[in-house]
Amino acid sequence: MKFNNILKKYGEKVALDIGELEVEKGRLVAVLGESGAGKTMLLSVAAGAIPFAGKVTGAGRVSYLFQEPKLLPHLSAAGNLKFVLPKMRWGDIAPMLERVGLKGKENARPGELSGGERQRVAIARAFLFPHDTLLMDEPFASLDLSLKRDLIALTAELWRESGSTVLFVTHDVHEAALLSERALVLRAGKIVAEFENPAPFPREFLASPPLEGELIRALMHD
Amino acid sequence: MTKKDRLLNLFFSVLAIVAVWVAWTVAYYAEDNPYVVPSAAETFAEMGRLFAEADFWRAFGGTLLRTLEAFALSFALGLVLALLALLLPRLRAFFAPIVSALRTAPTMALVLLLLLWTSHSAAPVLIAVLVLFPAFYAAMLASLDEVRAEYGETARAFRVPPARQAFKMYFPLAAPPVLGQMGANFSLGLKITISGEVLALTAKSLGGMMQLAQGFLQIPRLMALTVLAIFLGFAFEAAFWLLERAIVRWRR
Repeated sequence: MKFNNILKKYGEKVALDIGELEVEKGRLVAVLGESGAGKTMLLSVAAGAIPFAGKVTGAGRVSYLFQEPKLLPHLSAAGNLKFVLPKMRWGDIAPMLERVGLKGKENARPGELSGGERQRVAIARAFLFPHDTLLMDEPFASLDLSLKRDLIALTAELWRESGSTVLFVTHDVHEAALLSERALVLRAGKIVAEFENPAPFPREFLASPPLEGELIRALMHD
Repeated sequence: MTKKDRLLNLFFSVLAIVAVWVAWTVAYYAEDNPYVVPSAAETFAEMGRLFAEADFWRAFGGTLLRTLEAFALSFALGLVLALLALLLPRLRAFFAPIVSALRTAPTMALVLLLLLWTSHSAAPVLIAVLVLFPAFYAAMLASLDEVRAEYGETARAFRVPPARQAFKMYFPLAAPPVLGQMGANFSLGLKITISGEVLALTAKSLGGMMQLAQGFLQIPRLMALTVLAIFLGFAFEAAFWLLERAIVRWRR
């Protein structure tokens, strides 16, 4: 996926200004930044959801994983997958729900699931939906630590199995260091730092990945 | 809600009925004139006599039909226009002053105008439509807006086709609040239809019967008809409440 001369302004204020950016196929790239840095806007640009100057190519089919699962409350876990994938058969949906740890809860409605289980349904939906690129917008932000650990590990596994290109927006340095192969730091709409993250998978949640310090320094303007 | 809460609620509902009955009895004895305030006993005896009259059932059927007609028309109009307003923001702006004007227009003045322009039978229906439609439109549009704000982004992101969004997302999720208002709207429709019938002296109508009863100083009959209209409203509110519970099971 390539971003060329992206410029998004609100009045005179530059919200996003990216000259050249290439996200290699099949890689998971984290985008870090403080609030208002332009992270979510970068996802909107990648999705073509907002007007902007410049060009994005190679995103292909796009799938999403949002911060909130946004499941329809009147449909079951399986029903929520069927809602976005009407042609998908039970034989495809059931194994994915099992894969994300929801075996036996296929017919449970969101109100009958815990917060973590709802996010698991959203993860299943994101990976099951046919895509070339997955855009993740702080999907672990509102989870407690143990749940975050489990879902980050699950997402890493599914991503590596799927071979999707992933753009992962977060403000959490630890999440970025755990999940990404490459991390970009955005400030005031511009990429101010870029790091490779060669640590092998699976990565240990409780360990402090080497990239963390560098990312913190970049975020703190050091 | 616990069993204790339900019992307490029931107790206070019964208390309200007793309070009305006490106020009625006090008014009856204070006025001491059955041509102004008849007793509850006289009223209920008159209700029994009404049940034996074929004219009453014809009037009852006529009023019920007119109310249902107005209700169905307002519902359909509210739904279609709310959907259009959801899809086309300019239409929402176009409808806004019309709906606002209908909300504030004096009902009785509109009945008088409708009597000039339409028949004595159609005027009560039309006035009920003009009163009910803005209520349905506003409730439906607010519900649809809420669904869009909450889930629209997901549906768009996953490119769910509009028809599937409508039937699988918008209608089921917008229905509960609208259904919740239907009983109250039916009662309002009944009240407006009967008011229109009173003014129009519509044939075969409860409102027409009320007007005649007042004209001939048959006050227990007038009170009996009024109480029956209230019971009818209660019955429909209960029916819509049961309907809502049956349809919207996922909320529980």
